[in-house]
Amino acid sequence: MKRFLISSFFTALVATLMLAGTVSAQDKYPSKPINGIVPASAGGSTDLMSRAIEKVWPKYCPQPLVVVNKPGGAGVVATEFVVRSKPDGYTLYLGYGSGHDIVMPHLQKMPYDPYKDLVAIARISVHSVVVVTGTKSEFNSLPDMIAWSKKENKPITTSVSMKAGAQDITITAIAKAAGVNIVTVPFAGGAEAVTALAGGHVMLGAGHPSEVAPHIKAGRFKPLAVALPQRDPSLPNIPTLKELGINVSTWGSVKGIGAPAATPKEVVAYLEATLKKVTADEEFKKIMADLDQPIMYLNGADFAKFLQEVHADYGKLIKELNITIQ
Amino acid sequence: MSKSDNVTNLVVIALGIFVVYHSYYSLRIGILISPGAGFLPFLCGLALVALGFVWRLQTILFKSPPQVENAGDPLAAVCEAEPARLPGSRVKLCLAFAATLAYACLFERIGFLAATLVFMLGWQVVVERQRWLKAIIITALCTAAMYTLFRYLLHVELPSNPLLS
Amino acid sequence: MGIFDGIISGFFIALTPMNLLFALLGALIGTAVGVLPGLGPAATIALLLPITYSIASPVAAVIMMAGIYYGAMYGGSTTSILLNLPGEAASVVTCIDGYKMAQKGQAGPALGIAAIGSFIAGSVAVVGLTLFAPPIAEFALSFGPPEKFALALLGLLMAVTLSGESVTKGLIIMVLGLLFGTVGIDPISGKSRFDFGVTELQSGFDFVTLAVGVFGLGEIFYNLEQQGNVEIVTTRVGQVFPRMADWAKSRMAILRGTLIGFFIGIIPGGGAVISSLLSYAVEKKVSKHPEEFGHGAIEGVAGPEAANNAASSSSFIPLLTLGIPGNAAIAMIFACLLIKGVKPGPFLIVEHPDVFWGVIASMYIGNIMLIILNLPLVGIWVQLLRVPYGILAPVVILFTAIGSYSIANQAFDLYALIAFGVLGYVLRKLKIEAGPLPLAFILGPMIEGSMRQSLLMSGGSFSIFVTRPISSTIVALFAIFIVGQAVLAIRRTGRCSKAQKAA
Repeated sequence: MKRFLISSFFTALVATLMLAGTVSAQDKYPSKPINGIVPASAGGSTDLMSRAIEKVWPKYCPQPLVVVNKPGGAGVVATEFVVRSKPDGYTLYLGYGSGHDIVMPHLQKMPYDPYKDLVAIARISVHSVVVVTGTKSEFNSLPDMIAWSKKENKPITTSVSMKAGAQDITITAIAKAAGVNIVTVPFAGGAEAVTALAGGHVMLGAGHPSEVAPHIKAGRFKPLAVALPQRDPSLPNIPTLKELGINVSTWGSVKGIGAPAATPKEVVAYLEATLKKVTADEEFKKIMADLDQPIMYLNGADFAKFLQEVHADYGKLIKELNITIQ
Repeated sequence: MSKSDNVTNLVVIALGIFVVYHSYYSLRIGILISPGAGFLPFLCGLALVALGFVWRLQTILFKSPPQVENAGDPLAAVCEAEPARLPGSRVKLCLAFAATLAYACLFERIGFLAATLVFMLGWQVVVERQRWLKAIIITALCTAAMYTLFRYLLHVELPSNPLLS
Repeated sequence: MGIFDGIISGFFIALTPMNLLFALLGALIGTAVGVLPGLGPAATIALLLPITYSIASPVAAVIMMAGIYYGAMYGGSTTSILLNLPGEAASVVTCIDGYKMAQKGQAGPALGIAAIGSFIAGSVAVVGLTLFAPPIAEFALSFGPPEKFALALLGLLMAVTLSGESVTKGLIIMVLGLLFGTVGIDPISGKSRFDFGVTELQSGFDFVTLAVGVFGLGEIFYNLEQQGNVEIVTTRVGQVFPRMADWAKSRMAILRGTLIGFFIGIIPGGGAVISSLLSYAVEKKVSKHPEEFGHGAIEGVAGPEAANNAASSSSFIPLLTLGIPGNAAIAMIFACLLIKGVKPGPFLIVEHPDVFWGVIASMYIGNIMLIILNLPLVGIWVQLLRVPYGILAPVVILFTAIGSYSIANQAFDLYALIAFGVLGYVLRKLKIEAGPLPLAFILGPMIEGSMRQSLLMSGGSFSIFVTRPISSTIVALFAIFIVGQAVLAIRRTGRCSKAQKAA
């Protein structure tokens, strides 16, 4: 009898808690805080961009945007969480276009389709790959270093943030295009890779502007090239690889906002308009400039098209360079 | 030594063999001057097998004094010589383990608040066998304190009840 | 501006009522999260980051964040000593002798000496930070992959000294820790290891989940089974403050710990952990009664606690002078500064002298606040042991669960936590000291990664480990230690067999 009482008590308790409040009225969107899922841990460049949006967001929306970090599974956990969440506009994906959306699908099986299962809302920024060397290095340009390597028949050691990531692929593409031997040394993340170059332990380094720009300004790094099709707005003085005669360009890593595919059109339109206002905000521009992240807004439709292109580009490059993970 | 040591060192050896197998076939060991993903796991696996055997040898060679030898239940054998072990303690452990596992299952499904209420109440009533009134008071106080601390003072993002929100 | 002018101006900034308030707030929150099991400083600073948006002055925001960070280092020893729950990688070592002391009814002296040691180490390290920040920062940068490999290997060797009676079992535990460290995507090859198709495992296990599970949860499961005995332990609180004899034993340990922590702590990634390990190993070596270590030696608490506090202060050096964050918590402070429009790095002292000197000055004040706050609290924390286990146990489980969950916001970590709890319980039953497990877990990826990076850099030549000055020094130390240990072992077995023959 006592057992029965206890178990029925629990059943009742759980049932009450689950049913209570289901009758909440369907208010006009947004009627509660919006969760922004970030596929990286706090403190990284994607997180910092999301925090900048979080900070400015309340100026343009009656409900706050709350950043939630889900760094699990190299970002896949976060994206899968968004894909499987209720498509009501209260769960957004911040950082849509990161490495695990545009590079990883070419190398391994994904538990979802990063393009069909998500709807693109807006592009916020592009994190290009910048090639740098230490100030103490005897080389002042990439062609100089390549010429030295060919003449001496010695490899160029280069620190990158991870194996088969955007930076590794870009550097490997440079090696192939210039016909030079470059050894990429992968580290556990961008900060470690940059630290290794700052200590002069490798000859060359690759990093996103947010990682290398502070060191360039501090006179510790010499910038050599940017791997974008055109110059990076946050580092306008650095030539592109193509300008240097090396026919390589990648989009680095893309940072946009997405939502589950079935999110209502009017909700997507509302978010798109809000993000447009956020990216035009003076305070936001100031923070992003401080973070060395260029603002490169694109609306949902154009962003979706852009993502497809970037994805296809990486696919081609990975095939050409024969990059696999093993 | 004891029976449990015998069982455990076999487990260690088995684990070592699995790790060696996995790192050799699924990962890539590489060569010494260019180690692959399986290099360290492979060495670890070999070390486990070797250490497992050393342990086994030790248990056979250095038989401990007979009074520690406690035949029967392998887990009870290694317990310290404890005079005051209550009879229901193993049951209590299992119940506590079950409660913790249930909490993990419920945490995201019914939200932090509901899961914590269920867990605390369950612990007080089922594990500790408190009287209902005391159990409810403890549960209410602890849950309220935890919720205030994490939600309002530390701003932790806790899962809420999917139906409540 | 010279150092002297700088620090004076810093004190003017740090002593304004507003900044004092934020320093106090940081110290309070830091102590609280240090004491709360499972919730580390990095997670807390991340959680509180949105709050700093509304703090207008960047100095005040960073003063608070820094307070949380080193305050957590003070508080972290509390749960390690009382509940066998390390809140941070660097306090794993504290658990080993601290918890044994608490079980013997000496929780008070252990907590007291930890607080005093932390204060001395924290204050000395801040003086070091004031005087030598730039040259020391260059030293930190000189640690490339080969140096890190040698240092981590030395650390691993020290971790063996933590294994209890049986070296064989200690080594098995260490290898197990190394294997747990390999789970997830290998950064060098990009291949995911031992994930068995589970997406969450691709990022590997988190240190907090592993340590809190194996130590804290394992201990709770074990105690629940031993209910009869636990009551005796928990009610025997003993004296609250350290005696003169305790102080006499620990003061040199604190001094050595401070020096080790200050220098090793600046090395980005794992510096603090290795410094606490080194300190423990050094204390055990110089002690006249090394057999007491592992059974409640007060030097085994004082040294490592001093080391990890000194390390927490010196880890600010690479951040403030180079703009390089050395660990997760410092990375959060870095993020906080960036959002506030302040860029840490070589120009910080020129562009924002108020931030640079203000934060350093606040660390002097913060340390004083913390010792004033923590010494009386020792009495209160000790009373925590009087809370009935039927309430303490589930509450601690809840704390560890929330702490683990908040790291990556995924329920998977709760299951991982429980699994590690079961492992910890089994180890406890088998009387195997679990200390080497979390340490090998931290050092393993460092050893493996830096070895493979070094070999990539050298084109496969092992000479890279012995031709560079720092790494060759560490390798030499390593060799001396091994040879010394071997000689000792041979002598001991010789003596043993003689004794056996005599008997």
